[in-house]
Amino acid sequence: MALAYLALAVCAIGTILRVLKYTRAPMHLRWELYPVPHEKGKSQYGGSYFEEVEWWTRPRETSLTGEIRAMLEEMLLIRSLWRHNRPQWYASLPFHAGIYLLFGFTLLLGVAAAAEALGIADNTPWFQWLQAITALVGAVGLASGTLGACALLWHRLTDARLRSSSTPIDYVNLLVVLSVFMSAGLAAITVDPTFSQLRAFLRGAMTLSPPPQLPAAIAAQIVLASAFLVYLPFSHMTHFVAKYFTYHQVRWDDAPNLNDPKMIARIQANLSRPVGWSAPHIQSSKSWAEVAREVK
Amino acid sequence: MEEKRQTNERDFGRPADQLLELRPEDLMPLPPPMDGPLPPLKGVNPARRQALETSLDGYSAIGLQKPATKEEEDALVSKFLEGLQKLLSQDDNWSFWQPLMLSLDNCTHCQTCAEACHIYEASGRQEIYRPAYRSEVLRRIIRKYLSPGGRLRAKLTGSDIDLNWGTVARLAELAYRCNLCRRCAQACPIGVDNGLVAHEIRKLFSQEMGIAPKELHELGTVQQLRAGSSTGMTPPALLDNIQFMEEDVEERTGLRFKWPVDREGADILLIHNAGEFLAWPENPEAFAIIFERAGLSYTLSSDLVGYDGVNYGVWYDDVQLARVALRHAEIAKKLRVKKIVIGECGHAHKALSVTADRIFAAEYNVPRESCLTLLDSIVSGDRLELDPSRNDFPVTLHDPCNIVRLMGIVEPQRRILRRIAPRFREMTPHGVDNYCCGGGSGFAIMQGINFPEWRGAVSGRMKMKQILDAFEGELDPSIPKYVCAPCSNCKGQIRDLLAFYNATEECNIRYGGLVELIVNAMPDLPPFIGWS
Repeated sequence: MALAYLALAVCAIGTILRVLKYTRAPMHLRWELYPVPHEKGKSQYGGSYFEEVEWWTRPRETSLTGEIRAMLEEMLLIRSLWRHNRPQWYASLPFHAGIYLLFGFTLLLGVAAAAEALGIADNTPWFQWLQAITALVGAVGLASGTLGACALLWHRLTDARLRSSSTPIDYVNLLVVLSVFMSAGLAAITVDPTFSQLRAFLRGAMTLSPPPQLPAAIAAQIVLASAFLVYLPFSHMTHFVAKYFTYHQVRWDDAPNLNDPKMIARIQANLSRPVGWSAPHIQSSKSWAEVAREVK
Repeated sequence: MEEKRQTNERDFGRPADQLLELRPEDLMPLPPPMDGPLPPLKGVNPARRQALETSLDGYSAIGLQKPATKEEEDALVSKFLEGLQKLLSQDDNWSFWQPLMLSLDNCTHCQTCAEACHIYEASGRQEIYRPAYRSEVLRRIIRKYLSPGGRLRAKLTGSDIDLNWGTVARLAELAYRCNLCRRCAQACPIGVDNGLVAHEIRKLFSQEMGIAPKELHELGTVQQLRAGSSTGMTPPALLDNIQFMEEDVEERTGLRFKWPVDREGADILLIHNAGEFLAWPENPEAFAIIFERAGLSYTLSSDLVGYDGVNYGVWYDDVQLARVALRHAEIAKKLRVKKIVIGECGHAHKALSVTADRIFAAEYNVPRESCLTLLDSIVSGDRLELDPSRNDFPVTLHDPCNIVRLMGIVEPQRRILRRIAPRFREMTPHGVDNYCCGGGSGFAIMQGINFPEWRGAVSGRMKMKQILDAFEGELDPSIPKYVCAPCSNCKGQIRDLLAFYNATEECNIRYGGLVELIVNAMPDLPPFIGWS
């Protein structure tokens, strides 16, 4: 149980540090890429407010719905892969769906464990329904994730270009995730088809009670899942966090500089940084604002 | 297309005369009548190979000389590492630190970007041109040489790469085998931007090591800031050119009017790419006719830099980008105009409207607008008498990446064409999914050494295919055809492409801007577009 606590803590801290790394970054120069889905009435064809004459005199019309729809399509269906790399999509979608479902499964299992700990579960109908749904989500998630991970691995091994450009880490990442799926699947099939023992483990973890005696298959599953959680924030699998920033703060960041005091302050902060580059046409310890006025 | 494997990232630092030998038979096939093989590619001659770094693919975009001694090589490698550290520092690289780190940290090597890249596809899927290849080389150098325990980890993870002068020289060249069109970034499910990584490598070489293509730096931004224009045109030469163009307009159309120059208090400061004045004067002439007839209050500038909208800094150097953009803004402020309108130049659009937007503190934040939206408002607002039958020939539209995918200006130019060109047809794909012309990010003006051959055979090949496909069934030379490219760099590249593939002679394909078509549709004027 200590291992699970530790793994969760490392994963949370590692992920937070990664998020902080990106959120604390200085405001960068604009680098958007169209279509930008919040461009109201224009995102369907990739248009922007730049299409309007004297756009700065018009109210900026954005569509939150458009942005949310694009986000959901990308998160849940990996739309860009569907459009640009269909063979990979057939493997990637079940893989990611498996992860999402297992995340949902863990939450449902946690709810059930909490209900048990609070003594409000017993054999009430809703609890039985919860257990049934949890089992279904878990089973589908495991099957989907295992299938997807195997397909991704197969794709990487058999596609000449992917194989040539793959690093050992790419295989390690897939094998780590696959081992989590497979160990969980094996435990479910062999010793814990109703996930009751895993739920008992979670209940113990929630109530800080001594862990129940677990079969080796479940113990192995927990060890592998913990190892995965520790590894996750230090791998390129952090794209689950990074994707927010690549989309919202780069690709879709088309906020114009309309002399808003906050933006102007951030611009001035950037321009007051010293220039450290040392090519002959720069060579200066002056600020960006000063260097930008030089002609060398 | 059959998959090929010539080299992978591990080979990048290994000694080899040349990582890739391009052969015409490997290139992506073109449709008839260009379906025959190209003549053998010349590559680099032995004398140049002795003096220049061409060990990437036999081509030289930046004319990098080989260091004379081992000490010189080592010093350059150290300098490269210093620059790389600065690239990864928030203070030194605040301008693109966040997008760069996002791209370096999160690639899963799915190679979706490769499918989107016209250079990779047109080259016959050569490994070194894969968008992620370049980024992965950089990533491995960073991991091995700038991360704690990197050397050991590189060995253990099988991602070792040697950093030596050969690696550095190849990386410098490889940064100029990408048009920065960012089609790959658009395709990436994670949002990794390999175009940005190429841009950042260029910056490292320029801002730290002073290494950049002569056409972009010495003859580009430096000349623009000192002499007034990257063409070398000084203010007096500009005034002479304007006088010539006024006379030319009168000769071609019978219209005589004075072009406004340095008119303080005008509504609009119109900034062209100065290359237009010299290579395609009919373009600024057409603008002058349209603006005059639409009754716009505008002016040109004869101030240093004020008559040249180019800003090559956007491709290779943030300092130069800032210097040129600031100069443009200062001139607009001095002339007390209400807005700057940018002529038919894609990168000038993006540099001044988008990239530089967050370097303008309030006093220099003069509004900037695309000529395409303004022209659309003139044409769609019926402010000109136009007869579309005057443009009764096949017309297709090239979408400049900087204006379309990177700014979202998609429909205005189409609305105009639908109004004035009855035989307008789209390329496939088009709009924000377009392919770069192959001249993007400065390639169109890089004429040195043997680079134009690579530009024609590889980076422009996809555009040539698109043009031929767009005119399918009408390629007979008896039918004049027009590729409308509202961007100076794209026009330059399309001019060179048509010459490289002999397409003007064989198929009667011409090219030009959008304003020329508008003026050609004016019923009271003689035809403006010449086909001879």
